[in-house]
Amino acid sequence: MAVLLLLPYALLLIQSFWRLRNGTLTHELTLDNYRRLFGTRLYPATILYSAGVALRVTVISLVLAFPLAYVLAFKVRRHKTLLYMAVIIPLWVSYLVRAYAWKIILGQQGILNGMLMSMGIIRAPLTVLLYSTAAVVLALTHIYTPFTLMPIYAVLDAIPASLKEASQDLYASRWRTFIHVILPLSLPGVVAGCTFAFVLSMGDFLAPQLLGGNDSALMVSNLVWSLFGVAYNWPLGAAVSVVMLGLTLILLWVAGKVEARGSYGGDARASVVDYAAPI
Amino acid sequence: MTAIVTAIVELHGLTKRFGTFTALDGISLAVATGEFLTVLGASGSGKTTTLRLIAGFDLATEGRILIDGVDVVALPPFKRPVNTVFQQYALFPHMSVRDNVGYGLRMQRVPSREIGPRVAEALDMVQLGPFAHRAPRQLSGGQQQRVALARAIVNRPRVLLLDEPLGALDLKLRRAMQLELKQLQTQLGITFIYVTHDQEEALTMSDRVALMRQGRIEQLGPPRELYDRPRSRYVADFIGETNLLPVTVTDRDPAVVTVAGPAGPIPVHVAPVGADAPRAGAQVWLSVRPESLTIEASAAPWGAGSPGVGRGRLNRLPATVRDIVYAGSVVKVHAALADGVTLVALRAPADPPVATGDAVTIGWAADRGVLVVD
Amino acid sequence: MPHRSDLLTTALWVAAGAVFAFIYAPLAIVILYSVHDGSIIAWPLKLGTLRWYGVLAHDTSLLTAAWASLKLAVLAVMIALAVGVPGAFVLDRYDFPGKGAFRRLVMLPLILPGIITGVALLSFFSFVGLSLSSGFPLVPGWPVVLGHGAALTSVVMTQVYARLQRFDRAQEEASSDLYANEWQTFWQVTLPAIRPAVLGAALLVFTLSLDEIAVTFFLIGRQNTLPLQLWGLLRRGITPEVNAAATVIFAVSLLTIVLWSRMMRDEKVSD
Repeated sequence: MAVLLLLPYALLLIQSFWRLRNGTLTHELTLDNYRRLFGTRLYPATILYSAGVALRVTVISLVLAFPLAYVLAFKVRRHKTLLYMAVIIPLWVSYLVRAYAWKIILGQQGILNGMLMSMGIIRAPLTVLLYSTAAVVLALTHIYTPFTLMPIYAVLDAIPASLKEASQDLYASRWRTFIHVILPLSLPGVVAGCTFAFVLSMGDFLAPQLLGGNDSALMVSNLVWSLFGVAYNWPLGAAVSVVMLGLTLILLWVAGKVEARGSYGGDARASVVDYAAPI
Repeated sequence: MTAIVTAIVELHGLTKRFGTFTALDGISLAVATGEFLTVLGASGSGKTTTLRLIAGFDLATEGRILIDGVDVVALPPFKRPVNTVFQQYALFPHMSVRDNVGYGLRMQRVPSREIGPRVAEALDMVQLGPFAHRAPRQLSGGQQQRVALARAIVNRPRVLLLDEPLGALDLKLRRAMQLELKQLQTQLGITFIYVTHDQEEALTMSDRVALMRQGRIEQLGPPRELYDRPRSRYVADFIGETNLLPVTVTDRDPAVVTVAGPAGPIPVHVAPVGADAPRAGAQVWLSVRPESLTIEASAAPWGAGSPGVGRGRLNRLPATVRDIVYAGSVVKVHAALADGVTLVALRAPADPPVATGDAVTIGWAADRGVLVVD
Repeated sequence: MPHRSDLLTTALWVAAGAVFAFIYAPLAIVILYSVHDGSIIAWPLKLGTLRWYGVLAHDTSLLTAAWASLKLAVLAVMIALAVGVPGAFVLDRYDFPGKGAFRRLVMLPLILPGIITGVALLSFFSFVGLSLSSGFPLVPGWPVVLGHGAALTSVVMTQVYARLQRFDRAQEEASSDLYANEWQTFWQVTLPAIRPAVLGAALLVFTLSLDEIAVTFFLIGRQNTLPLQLWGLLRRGITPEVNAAATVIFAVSLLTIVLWSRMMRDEKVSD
C-alpha cells in the first residue's frame, strides 16, 4: 500500500516533465510545462492569490480557535471531552454541507440579505456578499477553524495546572502568566494548527468554485482541477501539482523545525504531521 | 493560639468544601516566625488543601488566613508574600535553570542588575551554579528539586510552602535532602510550612508537627510529643510503629488499667494521665512502642508490678513467641498474649535467643505505656 | 484558579461561545431549511414540512449514489484495515531503514490537499491502464475503491499504532509464560487490547470515505457517489431537497462519530 501511495506521487513528478503533443501524452522529457508555468502570469499570480487567501484563513482561524481552545482546556470543568468533541465533530461531518451553507446565508436571496431587508437596514439585496474572495475566506475559515483548534487544544490541555500556579506564586499576574508561560508552551500546537489551516485551505477547490464564482477568485487547486478535468493537459496540471506539493512539503518541513525548537520534551509527537492523526 | 506573639501565619476557622465534600473542617493554627512546621497526614486528610489555601491557589469557603497580621484571603497568589515548592517541581520547561530561578524576580520587576547576582547566589546555595544554562529536562530529579527550591528562596519569602517536595526522590537522596533542607531553613531563617505523608520525614525535620485527619488537626506539637504522648489511637498508629492493647480503665490515680487474661483481667500500670483522661470503666487502648518492650526468655508468674524497676513500675505479661523476623540491626519478635493479641518487640541480635513457640515474659516500664482513645 | 468571576474571564467565555456558534450556526441553518415550507430558500424561514424528505426518498439518482457511496465506504474500510493493522504492527515491532520517512509518507494523504492525492492517483491508474469504470456495477470502480483505501489506510495505521505504543508488551510475555503459543497470545491478549482502536479507526474511515470529494472526483467512473451527486445538484441551485439530503448525511455522520467516540472512551477505560 505504501507503494500504492509512493508511486502515484512519484509518477506525478515524472509526468510533469512529459510533453503533450496534439492532445496526446508522450513520454518525451521536457521542461516546457515548468517554462509555461513560470512564464505565464496566470500561474504565479494564482499561486500568490491562493497563498493570500490561505494566509487570511489561517490568521482568522487562529484568532477564533485560540480562545475557544483556551476556554475548553482551562475553564470548562464538566463535560470537557464532550464539548471538545462537539467542536471538532463538524470536521468529520460533510464538508459539502459546511461549504454550501454559506451560499444559503450569503446569496442574493440568502438569509443574511433577507434578514437585513426585513429589518429595514437595507432596501435592495446586497450582491457583494457572495461570489467574492471574502466569501471564500469566510467559508474556508469556518471549515478549518476546528482543524486549527485541535492541536492547540492538545498542547494547552497538556500544560499542568501547577505551571500556572507556579507562575502566579512567583508574582506573575494572570496576563503575564499567559504571556510568559501559556503562550510559549502552546507554540507547537499553534504552529501545527496554522500549518493545517494554511495547507488545507490553499489546496481547497470546492469552496472557491462554489462561493468564489468568477475566474479571478479561483485558487491554484481550481487550475489543477481544470487542467486535469477540462483541458486534459495533464503534464501541465502535474507541474502545477508538483509546485503545490513542493510548497506544502517545504511548509511542513519548516513548521516541523519551528515546532521542534518550541517543544520541550513532554510531547511525543515528532512533527506537525503527527497532529494530523484524527484526534 | 493567639498566645504566640510572633506568629507569621495564622489560620482561623479555615474551611474548604468541594461540593458536598469537606476537605478542610475549620482548622485554626498559628505558625511562629522562623518555625519549621510540618503538616502531616494521609492522602485526603486536607494537608495539601491547607497549603493551597495559604498559597492562594484555592479559595477558602470560610475562615481567615493572616500572613504577618494581614488578611490575605482575598489576595491572588501573586500578591501573597509566600512562595511554593511544588510536588512535581512545576519547573517551566521552556526556560533555562537560570531563567526559572529569575522568574519571580523579573515578575516583581526587580532591576535586572540585581537579578543576576541574586540568581547566582541562590543557585550556589543549592550547589547548581554550573547548571545555570541547562534546560530543566536535562537535570536529574534531585537537581530539579534543587532548582525548584532555588526558584522559591531567591524571592526571600517570609514563608516557604513545600508540598511533598521530596516525594519523587529515592530513599537515599530523600534522606540527604532532608538534612540539607533543614540546614537551609536554619541558615535563611525562613518559616517553612512543609506538607508530607511521610511520618519519618516529619519527625526528623520539624519544630512542630500538625497531624491531620479528615480535614482536622488531630494533634499539634513537637515531634517527640507526638511520638511519646499520642493523644489518640490514630496518632499512635500513624506516627511510628506501636502495639495497641484493648484495655479497661480501673483507676485514674495511680493510673491502672486491666488487660483481659485467661484467668480474668490483669492489672497493668500506665503513665500518669491528665485531667482529660478517660473515666474508670472506659474501654480504651494502651499504646506501647516496640522498642519499649522487653522479652525475657523464661515464663514469669502472671501479674503486674514489681515495684522500683526503672522509672516507675515494670509490667510483665506472659506470652508465646509466634514469629521471629530478622531485620539487620534489630530482631522483631511477634509474641501473642493469652487473649490472642499479638505484640511486636524489638530486640538486639545479641540478646538471649528465643524460638518460635517459646513461652516468654513481655515486660515494659509503666510510663512507656500511653492510654489513647479511638 | 480562584478569583474568577471577573471581566476578563467573562470576555473569554463570550468569545468562546461566539466561535462555537460560528461553527454550528451554518449547520443549524441547513437543517432548519430542510423543513422549510417553500421551494426556494429565502428569508423568512417557514417551518413545518417534511415533504422535502419525501422528495428525497423518491430521488432514485440520489439513492443510487448513496448506495454507491456505502459500497465504496465499506470496501475502503476493508482495505484500510487489511493494510493498516499489519502496517501498525510492523511500525511498532520492527526497525527498518527509512521507518521515519515511511511514517511520514503514510500520513501524507491526511495533510496534503486532497486534490494532489486525487490527480496523483488518477495519473497512476491511467498509467497502469486500470479503467475508472472497471469493476462496475459490482463496485463503483476499482480505482476509486483502491484510492480511498490507500488514502485512508493512514487513519487505521496511526490509531492502531498509537494503541500498540501504549500496550504493555509484558502482557504478551505473561501470556507466553502461561503456555500460550504466538497465535493464542495474539487472539487472547493482543487483539482484545487493540480492538477498540481498530473498530474506532474503521468507523472513522467509513465516515471520511462517505464524505470524500477531492480524490473521488478524479477517480470516479460512471456512478457518482453521494457527495458528487449533491455537488451536481448544488451547481444547478440550492433546493430544500439538498438541505434534506445534507441533514440526513449529517445525522448519519454524527451517529457514526458518536459511536466512534464511545469506543475511544471504552478504550481509555480499558487502559
